[in-house]
This record gives sequence, structure tokens and C-alpha cells, in this order.
Amino acid sequence: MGTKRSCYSLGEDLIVEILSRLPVKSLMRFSCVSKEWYSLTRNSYLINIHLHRADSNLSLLTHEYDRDKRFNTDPKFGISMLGDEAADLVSIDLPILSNSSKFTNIVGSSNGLVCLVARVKKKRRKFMDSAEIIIWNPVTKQFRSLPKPVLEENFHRFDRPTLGFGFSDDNTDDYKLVNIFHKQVQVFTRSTNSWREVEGKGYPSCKYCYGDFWVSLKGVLYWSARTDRSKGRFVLSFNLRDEVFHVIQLPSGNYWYSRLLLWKNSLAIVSRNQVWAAKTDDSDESGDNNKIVWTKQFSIDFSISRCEEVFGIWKDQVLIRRHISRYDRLYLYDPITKERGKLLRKPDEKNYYGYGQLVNYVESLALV
Amino acid sequence: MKKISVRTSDGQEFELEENLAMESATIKTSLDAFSRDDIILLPNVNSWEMVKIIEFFTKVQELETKFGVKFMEKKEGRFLEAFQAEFDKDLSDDNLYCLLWTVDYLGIEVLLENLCHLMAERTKNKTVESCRNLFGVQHDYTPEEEAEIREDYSWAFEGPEIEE
Repeated sequence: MGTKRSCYSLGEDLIVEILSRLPVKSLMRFSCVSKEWYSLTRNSYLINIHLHRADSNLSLLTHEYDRDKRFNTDPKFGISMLGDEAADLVSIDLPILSNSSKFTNIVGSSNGLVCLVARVKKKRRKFMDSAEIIIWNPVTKQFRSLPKPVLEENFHRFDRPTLGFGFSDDNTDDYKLVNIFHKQVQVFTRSTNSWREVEGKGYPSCKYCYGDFWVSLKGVLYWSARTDRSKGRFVLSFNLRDEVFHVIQLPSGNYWYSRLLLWKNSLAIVSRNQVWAAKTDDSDESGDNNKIVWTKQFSIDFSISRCEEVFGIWKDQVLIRRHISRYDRLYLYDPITKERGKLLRKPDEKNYYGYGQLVNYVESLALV
Repeated sequence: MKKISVRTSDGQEFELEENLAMESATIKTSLDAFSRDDIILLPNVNSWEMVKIIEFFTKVQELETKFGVKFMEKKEGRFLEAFQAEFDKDLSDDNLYCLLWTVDYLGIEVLLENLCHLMAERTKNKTVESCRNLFGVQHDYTPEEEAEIREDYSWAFEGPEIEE
């Protein structure tokens, strides 16, 4: 065997095959190898292959700390990544914004990009005036601030719009945001870098749309909503591809929580200690609104029922949140064996007190 | 089992089992065009590479039986780890590179995936210079341009895992 190479160069296809198996950190470093490699790592061909190889069992977990109730200050916002076999929590650095805005919540996460909202806390400010919408890739650490939608003036000034984010299909090139504010619906597309009013076909004009507990599945966004305080809850969906809303009714007779989940790749919802999942009824072929059937998937044996609740799903385990004393803890729970598993490590901040959102995440090279 | 004869660039002849030979799209095309009794000439393949390929192929078959994985299925982590453990120590970076080229030339899909995985593992912790050498890539950035990237992604250049 020779030790010096004297053969031909590998073709670009093969280089892409090899690169698609490298971690993002290595790929960012190798952007320096040559101008061609720089383009390769920012090209949607490699980005898509790399994305499809990535571990899709990761989640991002938000938590709050340093809230001082006496002075009514907003809590600080922290974020961790939950992943791997051991369900370890790894703290992630949020982007540093130049003004004094603080992040408040995650509006969406898809194909490796995370959409966050940050606000400068000033009393008596209209929401959109003080908010910033940021698109962030946690693993390439790139982020940018998006242009903001213009909201109609004639509504209560402190109302919050509902924002949604996602990719309309598997292609990682073009993402969209949707902004719902009373009757007004607007969509932002990355390719145009601007907002436009849309018809909002199928939108039922709900007064309460619980924007924090969204889920996103196969290019469709879901929120739980009510048309009015007195009316029952339903699920509102928005298809990012055709920009159409649908209302998904929930079975009557149960008390449904506003938190939506994903269970075994289906939309799911919680009723006290039960998790129910949605399935399309294939026997009904009429129209564009396939009938959805809800079935109970499992019940949970809470050990301290008044202090525990379903927080989210991670892989095929349930995360149970327990409110005790000064802060929340999370436990893993296996719905089949009904065994209580690992207690998640508490976030590092000194005055941590509670968890916010759990969202699906995957590492990718997607461009902001 | 029928044997197919091939001759490598340095004149050495090998007798391959038919099922191995047929895994090479290049050899298969030759066989379809010519008589199976002829020796197939492989002027782009060295004898050491052919020896390695035969070794690899045998090992992949063994591991597939052991892990119950079929050809063309997505290879699980344990399978890839076992493959890597077997072959990693014997091959220098340059030899692995050449072997990868040859397996690609011969069109042996089933080995290509394993070798790409091996190559990725070798590459991932390299420095930029080391990576350029391995892939034979021309350095075409000006010092200023390179410095800018290094600054923008400074976190990607730091870490105990990066080889010197």
C-alpha cells in the first residue's frame, strides 16, 4: 500500500455524501476550506440531505427565572436542549440582542430554525411596537430580526397577536410566518422578506388563541382556541402551503387543556390525566376537510394529582410537571409500563422557578 | 458459485465470487456487454484496493447477518461502529480516500455508505488545513477573507475534540 495519495479527486456528489454526515460545528469550520466548500455548506442540496440524517428526537425547553413578584418585573427567559438517550438538559446561549429586548417565548421551530419573540418591557405599549421577531439557528448560531407586520389600530391596545412559523414542505429554502390578530391574517415569506394580507380562508375569528402551545406537523400549524370565553375549545389549524384555516372540533363532555402535543406523529391533546390523539377518518372522502376522529391513547397515574400535569411528550415518554414549593420539576413517565422515570436536572439559574414550553427541534444548517 | 476474473492496474488477477462482482455496477455493465469467460480489466483499481474490497465485502456480510440488517437498509449505529472498529486502524487517511474513490468508480453501493461514514468520522475533528490536504482542495481565500470567517464562527474553531 502506498502512503502518498496518487489518485483522482472525489466527485462533488461523494463530497456532499461525506459532508452530510458531519456535525454542524465541523461544517461551519470547513466553510474555510475553500470558496466551493463554503457554497456547498450553504446550498439547499446539502442542507436537505443533512437535515434528513439528523436526529429528530431533540426538544427545546424554555424556562423562566428571576421574576420578582414584588416589583412586577418580567421573568428572564432561558432555554435548554433535551436530547439523547439520557434525557440530559444542555443549556443553550440565546442570541444577544443589541437593544434591551428580552426573549419571551418560542413561536415556532421547524427544520432547525427557531422563531422567537423578544420584547422591550415598557408599560402601556402596543404589542407589536415593543416586540421583535427573531429567526435563529441555535447550532450555526446565526440569527436575524424580521420586518414586523403592521397591525390594524382599532383593537384593544394590549392585545397580543398569535404568531406561527414553519416550512410549508420539506424544502428548507422558504419558511413562512403567519400573524393572526382579530380578523386580520398576514403571511410572511422568507423569499419576499415581507408581510402580505391574506384572505384567511376558513378563519373563524376566535378571541382566544393560545399561541404558546402550538404544534407543527407536516407543514400544518395547530393552536387551541375559543371563539369566546363562554364557548368550548377547538383546535385551529393553518396549512402553510395553501394558507387555509380549518377548525377541528373536540369531543364534547371532556375538559380539554390548552396545551397541544405530538404523540406518535399525530396531533394530541390533554384532558386532565388522559392524552387523546387525532386521526383522519379515511372512510370520509368528501370535500377538503377530512373528518378527524379523536381516540384516547392512555391515562396517567399522577402520584400527587393536584400538583402534577402533563407538560409534553419526549420520544414516546410523557414529561410530567410537578409544581411543588418554589419551582417546577419535570419527570419522565412511560405511559405503557406506567413507570416513573428520570427526574430532569433543574436549570442552572439561581432563581429558576418554572418551565414554559417544550418544542420539537432538529439540528440543521438551514439559513436564517 | 461462478467466479468472475478481474485484472487490476498492476497486472494482478483476482477471482471474485459472482455475487460480489455483481454488486459492482461497473463490473456488471462489463459482464452484460462481454462474455463472462473474459477477464475484466480494471485499470483504475490497484491490487491492494481489490484485496481490501474483498475483505470489506466479507465483513459487511458477516455484520449484516450478525445485526440482522439487509443490504440497502439504513445502517444502524452499532453496525457502523462495528464496521469502523474492524477497518479503521489499518487504513491511513490517504488510503481511505483512494479506496473511497475506487469503490465509487466500481459502483459498489453497499460499501460506499460504510466508507462514507468512515471518512466522515475521520474528517469531523480535523483542522481546516488538515481537511484541505486530505481532500486535495485548493486554498482560494485571501488571508482577510479567511480571517473574517474564522471570526464569525470562532466557536467552531475551538474545542478539545479538534485534532492538532
